[in-house]
Amino acid sequence: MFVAIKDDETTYIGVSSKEELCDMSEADYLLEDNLHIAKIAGQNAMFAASGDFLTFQVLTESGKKYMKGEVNAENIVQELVPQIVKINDDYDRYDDKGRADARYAVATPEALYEISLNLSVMQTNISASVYDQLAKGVYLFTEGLPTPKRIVEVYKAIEQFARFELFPISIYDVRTGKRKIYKK
Amino acid sequence: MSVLLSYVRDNVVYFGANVMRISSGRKMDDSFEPVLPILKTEEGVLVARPDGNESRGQELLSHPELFPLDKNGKLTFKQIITHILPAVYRFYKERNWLGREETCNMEAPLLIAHDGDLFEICSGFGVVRYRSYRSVGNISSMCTPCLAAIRPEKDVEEQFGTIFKKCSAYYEDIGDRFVTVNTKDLTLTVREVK
Repeated sequence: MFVAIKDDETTYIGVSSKEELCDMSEADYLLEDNLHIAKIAGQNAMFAASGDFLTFQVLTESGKKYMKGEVNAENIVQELVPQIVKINDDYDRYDDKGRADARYAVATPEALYEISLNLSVMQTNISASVYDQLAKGVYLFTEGLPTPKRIVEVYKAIEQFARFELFPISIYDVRTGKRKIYKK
Repeated sequence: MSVLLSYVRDNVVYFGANVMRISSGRKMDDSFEPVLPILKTEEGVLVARPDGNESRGQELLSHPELFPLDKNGKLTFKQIITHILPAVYRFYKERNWLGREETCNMEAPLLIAHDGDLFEICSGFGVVRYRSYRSVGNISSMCTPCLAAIRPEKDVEEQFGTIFKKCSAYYEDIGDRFVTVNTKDLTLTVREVK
């Protein structure tokens, strides 16, 4: 799952797949191949996924430059979403209600976008792939803290309510592309 | 019941799998190479699959062409996702084998190894990379902590035998024999659980 927050300087994306990749050593869990986040080739932007991660992996490992235009809401709708739909179709990623079980975050240092389950695109300052309202509550009550610390607090809150472990988490600064690991 | 063990040490991946299954109450010992739950390709790729549907597993593992190395002779994350995963998906789809939980899936995951590289194609077709160990199959939750506890001075394949022995104390259908192979010598060896 991901938790992304945009502040005045940059956007940070936290990722954890521990609830999906259980029974795994911590070293394996923290391998970057196993974290569902990737830099968008040719752009100062990152792309994260949560849920069914096949489509994300096929897209990010395709070797294609999958966002040619500037990363903004319009181009996400016109360029990225159709590719997600195509892969979802190719691999029949839909449940009985016709929905693919994956959410995505697309972030530049200046903006954060969320692609929801129904593949609609929204610009936001905070996006959490699960427990969205809880995350927004923690976000509101942690104003003033450094942004990575706010993300850590969101994960801690979600861990308390969900019955799975999420830590250690990796938080990426989209501006620098650098990753920092946070343990509880 | 079946369980697959895999363990990575010194750039070698070790596989271990029990070879007995129970079909209609009858014990069946699959210790002949054509029906072992591990495929060894000519390029030295090992592919293993726990139970699920026995005949599907045997058919899948009789198609080594589904598991090619990349042009540099490596098994990479990219190669799995861009070549092996689509081929396996097509193989399942053509035979109408894809199950449905929430989305299309295989009834059992696949472990794929070459040199020191170990990957899993999960039932939902997501790909995961391992540098430590992985156990899949019915009693994998029992085997995983045993794999984590293997000490560096111990022989991996002997330790697999110990794990199967410990597990057989709780699950008699683990059986008396298991097969091991590693990506260095690529020899499938059937051993007794002692």
